[in-house]
Amino acid sequence: MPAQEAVITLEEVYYKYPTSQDWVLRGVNLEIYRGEFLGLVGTTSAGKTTLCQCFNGLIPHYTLGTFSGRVLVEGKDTSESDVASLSGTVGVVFQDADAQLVMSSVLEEVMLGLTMRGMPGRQARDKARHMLEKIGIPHLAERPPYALSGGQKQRAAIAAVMVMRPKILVLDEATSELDSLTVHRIFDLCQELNEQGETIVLVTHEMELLSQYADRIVLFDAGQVLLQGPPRQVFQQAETFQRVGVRLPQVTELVQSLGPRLATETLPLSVAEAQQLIEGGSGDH
Amino acid sequence: MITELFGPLRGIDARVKLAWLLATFVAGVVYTSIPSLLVVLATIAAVAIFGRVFIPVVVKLKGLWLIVIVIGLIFSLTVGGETWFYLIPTWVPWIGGSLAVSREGTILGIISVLRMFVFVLPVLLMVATTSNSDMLRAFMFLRMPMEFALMIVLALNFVPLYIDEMGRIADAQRARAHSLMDKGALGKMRGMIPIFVPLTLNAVDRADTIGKVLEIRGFSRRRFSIEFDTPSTASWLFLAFCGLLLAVALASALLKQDLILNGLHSLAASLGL
Amino acid sequence: MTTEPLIRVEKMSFAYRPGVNVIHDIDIAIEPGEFTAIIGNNGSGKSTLMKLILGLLKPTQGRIIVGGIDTRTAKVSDMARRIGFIFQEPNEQLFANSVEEEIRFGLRNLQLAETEIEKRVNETLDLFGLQPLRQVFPRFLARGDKQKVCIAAIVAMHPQIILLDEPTTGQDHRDSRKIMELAETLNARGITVLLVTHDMPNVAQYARRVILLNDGVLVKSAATLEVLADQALMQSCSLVPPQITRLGLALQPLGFRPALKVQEMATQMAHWLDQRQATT
Repeated sequence: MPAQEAVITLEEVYYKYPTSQDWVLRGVNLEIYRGEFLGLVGTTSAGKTTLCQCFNGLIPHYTLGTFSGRVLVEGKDTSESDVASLSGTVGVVFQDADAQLVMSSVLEEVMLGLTMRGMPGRQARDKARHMLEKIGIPHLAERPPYALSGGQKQRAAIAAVMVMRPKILVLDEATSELDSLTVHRIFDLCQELNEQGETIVLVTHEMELLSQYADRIVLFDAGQVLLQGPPRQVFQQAETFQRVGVRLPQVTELVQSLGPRLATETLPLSVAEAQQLIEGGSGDH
Repeated sequence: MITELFGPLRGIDARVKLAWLLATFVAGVVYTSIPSLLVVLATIAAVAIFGRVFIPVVVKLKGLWLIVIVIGLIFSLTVGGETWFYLIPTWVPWIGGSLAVSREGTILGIISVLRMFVFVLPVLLMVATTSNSDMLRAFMFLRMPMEFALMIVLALNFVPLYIDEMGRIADAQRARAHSLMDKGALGKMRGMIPIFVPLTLNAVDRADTIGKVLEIRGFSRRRFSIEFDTPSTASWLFLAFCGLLLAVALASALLKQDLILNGLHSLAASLGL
Repeated sequence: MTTEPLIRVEKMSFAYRPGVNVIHDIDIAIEPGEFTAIIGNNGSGKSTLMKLILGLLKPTQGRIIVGGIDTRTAKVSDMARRIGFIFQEPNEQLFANSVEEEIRFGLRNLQLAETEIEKRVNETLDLFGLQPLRQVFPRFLARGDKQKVCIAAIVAMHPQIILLDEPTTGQDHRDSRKIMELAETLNARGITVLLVTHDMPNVAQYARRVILLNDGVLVKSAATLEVLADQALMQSCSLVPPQITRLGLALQPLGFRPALKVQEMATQMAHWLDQRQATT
């Protein structure tokens, strides 16, 4: 675990859309640390997407509504800087891939963010090609986004944000349409970036994978942080997860359900860990 | 959709393509004879063939033939003059001999259609063979504000997406036993509601995300680089060709004579025709 | 009379563009009352197969017979009397200004009598617990509820078969479970369910048979456990079996059997712990 220096700090954040009757965020206090791999989980109505939009200033700058509290990105209050400059620090990939792809080819799409920042065409093109290579879709460079499959679109959208090398990368359910192989690939790529010092925030329902990759998991419900901590630690609160409606990894759930009969301090997160636990004969004590 | 074509024309500098639009436009305005317009069209076709997009563009234009026929008919039926033939032959009882087609009208119709192609084809070819960022640069080269330039480019890109989505929505409604084409005009209109309502509402939702995406990609910074890559040799050659076409067209206008037609005549004479 | 399967796919190939087959020569028979999952990677042809069964696409070679009707000649709106196709994206279907209107739409298309329509609307609203929401504008509902309305609108048409295309994509665990349980209830009422998904835990939990596609080729069609517990086969199709199945496989040397559900494994494990305790 890296040194606990907060790159994003939320203090008592409340937010309500112009159309919503109730608060969507109700007093969120959360710190995101530099270099960590954070998993954000919760039901679809929990307000995770709204929360992600606070990270890069879309709330309160772009989205109208009632906002109170403070969001600090690298110590700077987001209400005092604009989205464009924040987006150099925080990159957010949204769920709806269709709406995120606005150009006529995948390559153009990935280049857009770079050229908008004033990078000359040729250099931007090289960078974009390199990114496509990394994310595994170099063959799609010239294809128009609408001719791609759902999974390919999501990868293109991720590449378009990743290429800008934000210090904090937020993926808001950006892997939901992908098959398991591709999801693995995206998670691996995030890990690779994470090892290079990037802060990763992943919003996902893929609990099994998340528990392998994340340093810390935040359970978000009804506009508030309910639980936070390393996966093993938060999963101890199985009832809370169940009440909220978020699944634990299957092996964790299994060992949890057996309760004290499998006396163990550390919950298994993967098949290998569970196998080790059972083969190790923790059953006889 | 037309935006997916590229080919060798992509390498041509977007400013040169703009020069080509100008040259073909001027030629379309200046020339009024069928042979000259055909020569101009032939140069456009040559460009398309060079760019290896001729056949796809012709295929995509097949919907245009209906418009061509309609325009041709409007001219030939409405412009007076020597009657050439009747659309409804004279031997048909009662209505025979009506809808007279005049020779002048037909010629005028053909000229209008040729001109339309001279104006429209280069624009289509440019759109189809120019990347978005080059298009943006080209618009901004014409001193268009970035907001408008981007709006045009985005609109062009979203057309195929909406056609695609419309297909998916239509499929979903057909799966609910909706037969898209009801009887009667009113029925047809009502039949479209289950398709256009979701399409419109989704478009509104999407517009919001697009706005956010542009914000995130640094749009509001307005630091988009309008520097062009160094033009290739092909670009220079193409520019020379555009210059030639423009010069001929302008000279024809100034000298008040159809230089292309004259050229064709002297060519025919020298061949002994 | 020999019993004819409800859906028969015969030596069927399909290509969007001539010469580029996305489905190669497959044979499938679906019997009435089945709950079958079609699985495979992105691009394996599973969604295309569903569209072919409904007749939205027509086979390039071979044929598909649904309830005695050849899809090549049938109109989709007629096929819709037998097959309820539930598309992935609710926002691409919902258009009416209330939930009950949404349900009425399909019934009107079937040209049923008004009294029958009202009867079915009420039945369906009850079945899905949507009575309290009957006047609500469907687009304002939460995603899970939207999906429910889409399913209700199809179920009201009394199809023999329901095709679910990635029904749980983008849904949280709670909503996805609700939808799958709904499919299970409908199946128990005699409706044949065909499910296309890449959500393996749901396949393991609910499907009784699995059809595995890879690059448009039918690789295997067998009981769910037989497919999901075949790790080599799954891996060759770039699929990952659910954690619990993998755990069962890993623990086989200790006498465990591969399982599909957490509950099954928990029972085995409790039993195993009992035995261990007895021996010590």
